[in-house]
Amino acid sequence: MDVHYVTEIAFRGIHSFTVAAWLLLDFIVFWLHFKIKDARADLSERLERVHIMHAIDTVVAYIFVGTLPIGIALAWLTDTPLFSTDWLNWKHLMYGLIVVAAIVLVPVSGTALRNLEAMKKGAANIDELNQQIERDMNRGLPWVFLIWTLIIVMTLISVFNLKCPHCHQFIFR
Amino acid sequence: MVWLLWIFVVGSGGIMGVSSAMSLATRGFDIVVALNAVLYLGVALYGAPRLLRLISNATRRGAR
Repeated sequence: MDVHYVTEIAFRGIHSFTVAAWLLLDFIVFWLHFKIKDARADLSERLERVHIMHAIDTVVAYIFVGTLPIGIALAWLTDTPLFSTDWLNWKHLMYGLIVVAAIVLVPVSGTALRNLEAMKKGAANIDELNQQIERDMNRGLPWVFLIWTLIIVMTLISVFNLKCPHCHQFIFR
Repeated sequence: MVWLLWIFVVGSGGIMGVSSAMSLATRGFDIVVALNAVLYLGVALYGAPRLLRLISNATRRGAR
């Protein structure tokens, strides 16, 4: 087994793992958001969940940022031209759309954390703060669904363009 | 995290956008590559003033 082969497999594994972890953590954040935006739920419980959500969001941000350089390194290792391969150009486009979605979504988690902490400190405008959390989270939902769809489509594109490392034949088509 | 976001948006947007534009110039027109160039350069341009504001705020705080 040569070093290049082992490196290629390692990068494939890391790339797949980061995307799987990204999707899984996104599902967890989605599940957490229901309680956070529920104005009738206990404040301490909502605060606890928003802290968890914020921590997960930070991990997701690192994974999201790491996915691009790892993917570029993988393209280099597999001799895949970065800007003249049709399926890879489509993946770049979808990743770019995810960057746009991330720009939209990042302030949502921050608003929830800020507002819930203000409520804990005894803010008078609780109804307004709750409405702001719910409004921002509901506005973010289409972007979350867009990210999931794009990640799944990107994964399928990658799977159907996987080539056997030595024979250079497509594995799944 | 806000630093990470804007450095990444401007950095990756710039690199991917310029590389896509260069690919268009050398290899000819391709709709997906053109969309990539517009999208990535767009997010880089959107993020640049925000990153500059972060840098200027940090510099001002450092000077104090």
